[in-house]
Amino acid sequence: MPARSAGTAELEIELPSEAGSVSTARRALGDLARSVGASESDVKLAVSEAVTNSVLHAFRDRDPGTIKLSAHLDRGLLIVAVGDDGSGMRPNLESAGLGLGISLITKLATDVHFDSTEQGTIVSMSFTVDEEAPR
Amino acid sequence: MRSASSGGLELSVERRSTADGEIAVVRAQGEVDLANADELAGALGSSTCVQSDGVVIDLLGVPFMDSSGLRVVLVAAGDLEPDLAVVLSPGSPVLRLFELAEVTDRLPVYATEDEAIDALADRASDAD
Repeated sequence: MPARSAGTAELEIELPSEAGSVSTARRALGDLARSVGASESDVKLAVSEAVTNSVLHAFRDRDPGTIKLSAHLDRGLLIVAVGDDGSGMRPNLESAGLGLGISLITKLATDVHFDSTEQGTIVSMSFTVDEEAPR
Repeated sequence: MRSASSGGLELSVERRSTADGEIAVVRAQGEVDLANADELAGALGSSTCVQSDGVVIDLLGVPFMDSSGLRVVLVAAGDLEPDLAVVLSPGSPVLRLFELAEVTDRLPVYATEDEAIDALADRASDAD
C-alpha cells in the first residue's frame, strides 16, 4: 500500500509483481509528480515502463515477487526508484519485445541508473521539478 | 462488436463502407498497458479487421498508453494485410509516446476518424 510522509514529497509503495500493479504504480507516482511540479505524463510513462519490465522479465524463472517504488525530492529533482527482488537484468532470447521500454525511460528521465544484481534490479530515474508550475 | 475489460478498457469494432472498399474502425476507451494490451490485439485480429481493406485505430478515448499497447499496434501494422491508420489528438500523451518511440513514419496519424478513413480510401483507390 502507498505510504506518503505527511508534509513531504516522499513516497514508498510495495506491490506484487503482476500486470495490475503497473497502473497502480503509474497513478501513484503520477499524482506525486503533479503535486511537486514534475511532468506527470513523463513520470507516468517512465514508471509504467519500469514496472512492466519488472513484471515481464525479473521473475521469469521463479515465482512472482515484489516490486518496490520510492520517490523523493533532491535538489530540484524528483528521484523515482523502481526495484524488484527478481533475478536481475539478463538477456531474454525468448522475448519478442522491441526494446521500447528502456529506450523510452532514457528519453523521459533527466538521468537514469540501472543497478542489477542476482538479488534484483533497481531503476533510478530523475525528473526535473518546476517549482513555479501550477499544481 | 463491443467489449469492456475489468481493467477499464472498452473496445468496439465496426465496419464502414466507402466507395473504395470496407474500412474497419477499432475504437478504444481507457488506458492501455500490460494488463489489457492483449485485448487490443484481439480486436485488431478480429475477422472484421482482417477481412477489411483498411483498419482505423481510434485512440481519441485513450488517455494513456505505454509500450505494451504501442507494441500491439506496431505488430498489427506489420501483420495486417490491410493498411492501418491511427487517430490521435494533437498534443495527447499517446501521440507523445508515438513520437518518443519514433514510429510516426510507420504509423500514419490523423486527427479524426473521417480523415483517417479518407486517407485509407485514397490509398486503396491509388493501389487499384
